[in-house]
Amino acid sequence: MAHLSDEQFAQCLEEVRSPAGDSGAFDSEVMAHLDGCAECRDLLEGYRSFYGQLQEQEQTIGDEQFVRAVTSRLSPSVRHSSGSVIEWLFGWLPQGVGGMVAVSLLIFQLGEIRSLPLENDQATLSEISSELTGYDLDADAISYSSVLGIEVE
Amino acid sequence: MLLSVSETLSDLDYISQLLTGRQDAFEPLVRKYQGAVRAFCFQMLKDRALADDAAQDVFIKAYQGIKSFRADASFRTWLLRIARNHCLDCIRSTGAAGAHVQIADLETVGSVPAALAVSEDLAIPFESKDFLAAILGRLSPDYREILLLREAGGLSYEELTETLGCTMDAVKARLRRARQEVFKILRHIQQRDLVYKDRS
Repeated sequence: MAHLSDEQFAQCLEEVRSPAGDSGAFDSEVMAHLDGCAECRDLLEGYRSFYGQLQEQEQTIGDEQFVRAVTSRLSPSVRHSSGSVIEWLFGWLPQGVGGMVAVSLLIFQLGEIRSLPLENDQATLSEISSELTGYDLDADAISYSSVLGIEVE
Repeated sequence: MLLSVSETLSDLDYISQLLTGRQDAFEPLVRKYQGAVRAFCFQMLKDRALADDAAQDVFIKAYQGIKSFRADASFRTWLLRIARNHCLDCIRSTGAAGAHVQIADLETVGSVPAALAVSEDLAIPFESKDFLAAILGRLSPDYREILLLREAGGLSYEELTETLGCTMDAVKARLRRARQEVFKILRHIQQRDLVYKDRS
């Protein structure tokens, strides 16, 4: 028994895709064949199932976590306008405080280093170096001077 | 005080708001279309984590390029075009998309492709959850792509020509061949089903 041709199947698929299933694509010859041919009927049923699952899959995927993940990758103003003030504060406050502490420490360190030569204007190079780094320059004078190419007194 | 974006607005309303600086108008669009984009990316890439990352990238690209959106196609179609291009880039760069039967195998005329003949996992009922994955996983990326865009994405033939960058005849031919391959796989499932029924 001959089965439906590609063209006839294409017609059937348009019927499958039709929301109401009544696009009128089935002609009487196709209908008669489908009535008598279980194989073609099964194939069409298989495609209908394939199409239905494709549609269904889209409906079942979706969660707020994904939405948040996307919006958090956009500019901060999106997060600000879409989230609560508390959420925004908890997002930015620790970063802001952390940044300020880091900058303060850096300024403090720089100030200390700059003030050292002024306070110890009579100190030798090795004393300043030892105070800053804990490295005893005199003890390693030979190796240090050979590396730097200077004379250490 | 800014009014919150209503859920009942149309896509074009959200996009208009977005273009006027209401960046929070993008969130409802992500919520509405995440299913379509994530499903498409998953079926193209065959890896859930990779697909979700790709889907995020798609939305970011859409957000950044929203000014280039023209209302001659739906926002959904435009998003799926971005998703399609992004997934192809991912496949090229990472070799994603899982194992699939090569086109040469699929074009074996008049017989069951060798790659299908040896597989045991096709003895699955049509209504099974794995049925969709079993079929799509055996299609080449080209066929999978056009079927997803047409059957899941709902793109028209005209939109397919624009998205895929080929002629109307080429779109129709590729879609026809893709459906033939689905039928070929369905026939094979039928045959295996008969074998299993005979055995039991």
